[in-house]
Amino acid sequence: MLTGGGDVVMPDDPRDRALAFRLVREVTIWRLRLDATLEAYSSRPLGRLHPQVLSALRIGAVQMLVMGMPAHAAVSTACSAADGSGRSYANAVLRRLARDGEIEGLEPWVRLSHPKDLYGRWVAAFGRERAEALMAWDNEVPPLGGWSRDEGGEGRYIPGFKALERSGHIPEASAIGSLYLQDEAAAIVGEGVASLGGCSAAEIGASPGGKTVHLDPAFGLVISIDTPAARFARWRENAVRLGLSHSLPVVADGRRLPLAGMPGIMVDAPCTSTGIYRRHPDARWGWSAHRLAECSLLQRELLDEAAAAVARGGWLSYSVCSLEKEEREEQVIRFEQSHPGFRRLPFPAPPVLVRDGLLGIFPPEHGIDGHFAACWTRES
Amino acid sequence: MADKLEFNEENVRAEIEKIRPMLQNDGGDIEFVGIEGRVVRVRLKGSCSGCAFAALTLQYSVERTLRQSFADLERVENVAQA
Repeated sequence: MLTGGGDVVMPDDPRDRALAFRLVREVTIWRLRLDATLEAYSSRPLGRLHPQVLSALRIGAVQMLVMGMPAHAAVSTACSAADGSGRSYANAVLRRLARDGEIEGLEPWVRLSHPKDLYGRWVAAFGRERAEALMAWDNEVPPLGGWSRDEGGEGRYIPGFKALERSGHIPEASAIGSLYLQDEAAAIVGEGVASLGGCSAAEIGASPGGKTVHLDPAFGLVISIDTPAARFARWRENAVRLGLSHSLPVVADGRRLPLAGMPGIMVDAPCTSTGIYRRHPDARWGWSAHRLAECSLLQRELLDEAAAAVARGGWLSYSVCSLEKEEREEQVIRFEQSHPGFRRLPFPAPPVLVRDGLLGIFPPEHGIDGHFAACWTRES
Repeated sequence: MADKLEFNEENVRAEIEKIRPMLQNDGGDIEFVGIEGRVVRVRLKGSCSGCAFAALTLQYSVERTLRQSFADLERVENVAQA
């Protein structure tokens, strides 16, 4: 929790910890919307305020406008995060907010707190209604759940996916057991690729192990590739905890693979992650058209390199957690045009999620994160 | 640690039979050759015999799978094609 001195201290009480996490999450998500009203009520531009005072204002505003906390409680807890003249200033601005309420006539991307150019993109791609439904989805608290080959459970789409109760704080290890915490959509991608079969497979973009957990029991050998080496710390923790015994971590750049003649390769590519903003509250603020262009280029390089390392008769899969056509359908079409020896296979997933053989999830309509996947077999 | 199954030719052969379909999937195969001490000898065949990953597959797949049934197994060795 932020103290008057500006230090970050984690409270001992789990309920306080839960509140601290919730505040950070909600302030991160709603920053654009909160700042619009705070800017209107602050006599000084927000950018010129001391960071502590700005934090106090945002915490107060999010408690009042989003979390439904009574105004007097919101003002008093928020102001305790600042001191001296900053405290009086925050107090005055928040009291005005309590009296006059949120300003009216916010633009839709401000009201839904997403970057303006992303809103424009999504309206063009999905239509206004679907775009706004997607942004509202991004702002919701995601359900908690995970996949396990041992614990049973029945997901919305696949067996083996188990929903956990969200208690508001990070679950204890005993509650997680042998589960790998992930969205059901990620499990659908992992299980689909695991069903493609073969004696060995490689996965590109392996860490932190969300796909390895699905591939490991399905293949005799999984070569789990990622870079840099530090990324394997979490992969290793998960591999030990979940008893993954068929997977071999290899530090390598997916654009220069130390492989040839592989029976199967999964490219789980870095992407703009626009399909999983709900689970990564800060990710939307990293959005840019430039980043999209960078990701698309990297995906193309990874796919081309992996294709060259797949044996004849083997399979190749491509997956991202993005909703952008440049990283999804357009990537697939480009790949197929430049690789006539690869034939598209219907992605093995529940049919309601598959169109033209491609797994394509639109979160507000399918109720799970926005993953995308394709797979091919190499014929020549 | 005690073996879950008795370490003998019949049991090892039966366990290797369970692994064969996975290798046959990719045009490979595995043949049980024999037991020497606590070492299991096998022969990788078909596409496995020319596969760059055969040694790794042997270690990560065959050896680890057998180890689940035979805790004291020392290692699995590939005998070159006759």
